[in-house]
Amino acid sequence: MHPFHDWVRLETRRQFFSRGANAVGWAALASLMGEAGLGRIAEAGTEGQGGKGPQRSHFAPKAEHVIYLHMVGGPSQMDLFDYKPKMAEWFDKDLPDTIRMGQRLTTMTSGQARFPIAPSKYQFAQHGQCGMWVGELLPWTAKMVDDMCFVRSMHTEAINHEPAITYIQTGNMNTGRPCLGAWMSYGLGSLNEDLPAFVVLVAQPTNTEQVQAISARLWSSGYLPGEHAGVSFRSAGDPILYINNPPGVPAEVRRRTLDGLKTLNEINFQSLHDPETQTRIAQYELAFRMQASVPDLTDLATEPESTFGLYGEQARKPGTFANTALLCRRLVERGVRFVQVYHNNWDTHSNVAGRLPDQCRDVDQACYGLIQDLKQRGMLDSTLVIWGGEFGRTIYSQGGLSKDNYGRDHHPRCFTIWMAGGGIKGGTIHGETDDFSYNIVADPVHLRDFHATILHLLGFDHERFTVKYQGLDQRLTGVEPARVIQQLLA
Amino acid sequence: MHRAARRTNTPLQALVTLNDPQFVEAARHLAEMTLKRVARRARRGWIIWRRLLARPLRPEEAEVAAVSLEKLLDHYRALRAAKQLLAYGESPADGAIEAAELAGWWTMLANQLMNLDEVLNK
Repeated sequence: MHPFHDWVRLETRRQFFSRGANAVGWAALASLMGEAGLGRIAEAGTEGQGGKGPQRSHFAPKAEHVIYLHMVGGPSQMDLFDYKPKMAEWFDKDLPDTIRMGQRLTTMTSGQARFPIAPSKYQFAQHGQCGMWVGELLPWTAKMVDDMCFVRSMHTEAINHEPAITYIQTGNMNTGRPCLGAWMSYGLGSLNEDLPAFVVLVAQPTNTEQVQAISARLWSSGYLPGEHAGVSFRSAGDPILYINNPPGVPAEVRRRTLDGLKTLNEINFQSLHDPETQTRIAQYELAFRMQASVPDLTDLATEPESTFGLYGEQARKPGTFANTALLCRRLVERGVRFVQVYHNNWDTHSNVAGRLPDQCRDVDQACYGLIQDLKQRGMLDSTLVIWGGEFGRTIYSQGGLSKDNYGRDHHPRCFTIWMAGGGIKGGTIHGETDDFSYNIVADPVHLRDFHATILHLLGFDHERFTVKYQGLDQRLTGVEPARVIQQLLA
Repeated sequence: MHRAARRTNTPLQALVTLNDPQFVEAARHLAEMTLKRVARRARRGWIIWRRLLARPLRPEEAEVAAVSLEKLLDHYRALRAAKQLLAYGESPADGAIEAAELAGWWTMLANQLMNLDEVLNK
């Protein structure tokens, strides 16, 4: 936003008329702006104040909260959700060119002489009323398919992790744009002044054979105001570093220094009108409140034993995915809008048989526990839960192939995600891929469509939810056409 | 309409610049140096301020600083927690300076002022 617009936005009626002798110049300004325009802009600009913030939604949201469980690396869809029984006949046969259709290879497999097909070694069965096929590694997830919606026809263009994960989180492969959590914080504001609106949790996977980098810019606010960036909690040690005051500085002393700091910053703001100063004041106040709210959040002593029965015993251990899932419910319970979770090591270029069971064990019961927990507390209808990675995996094996083990490379052309709650229609299976889980044959869902659908559930028309920056009306869904997928909505 | 790159502005950053031992120790050293070199109480605040902001205090700012300082000095004289605070960080505190005075100066001015938006954005 142009600094001039920032200033105009913050000039209240009272200030305007209190300028006395200088009012003549200001009156000229008002006539240029239009009196109504000046008033409307001043009213709209409450960002940077901390606390609730404006609600910019176009219609009533179904989802007041989002829990986005990102499986870093790209889970292998044909071993988990995209059942392809015909591949059993194709073991060690080359992937036909008619199927591959010139799909570019990564440098990790382009050196291979052959692209032999690796059928999934896992058993599949149908579950629930909807009859969704789920692989044997996810028995708990299989129990709740009627609460979930599966999209098997997701697709992207990005073939490597950094651009792909940036793309699914921010709507563009190029960095610098706000992520989904920042958009939600900006659009709906905060429900709890004692915690950030947007929290990031990076879980520790049990198996760390091939982890990807998870950069802090994935939860940045991009060109949105700085207060909408995600606040990340650590998975080991203190959840928030330096949350405690130094020894010899009790809370009342800290409060006194913060009072003085606030007054001095406000004096500075009155002369320079930089909205980031207001944000800073708000963030210090939030930091102070977090000193009390975060220990309360992470203290699981108040949780009944039944909670650990639901999520699994791992939920007692800080840093695990199960513990993270439980924290998600506690965060949402306390009004946090958007919780972004990362679980790593899904990038199974090799040793699927050794790694995928560990991956699934980490998340399976925990996801079940989270959904049931939200349901039991009457929170599922207003909480959108999303699970998935940044792309899919290839049916052909990367590296050595045997009946018992294989590897899979990245595959942008199709992958599977699931969603539950927050206005999603349970028991929905959307989209279909060919027998090779290579191409989409029905109902493709591009990342843009996925984003448009999520924004719709949050109460936004993705075409109208824009911010002016660098000469464009920027939006999460970008400049190409995107549509809300109606079949996913309850 | 180009917006310049934003400075980090999150509650996590606030907690680092308020409570990280490195920042706390730096603030203590700034306070120690000022107390040793400047005898006149009134001038000390001005010296710390000038060092951090490269400009003189405005009257309304001086008032805020002065009022809170007195209250904190009283607090640390009564509290006996000064020694704990001064032990934070790797280097030992200067034993020649009265502990309560150093802690008060430290907590009020240096730590507080190092967290000013204007200082963080310099």
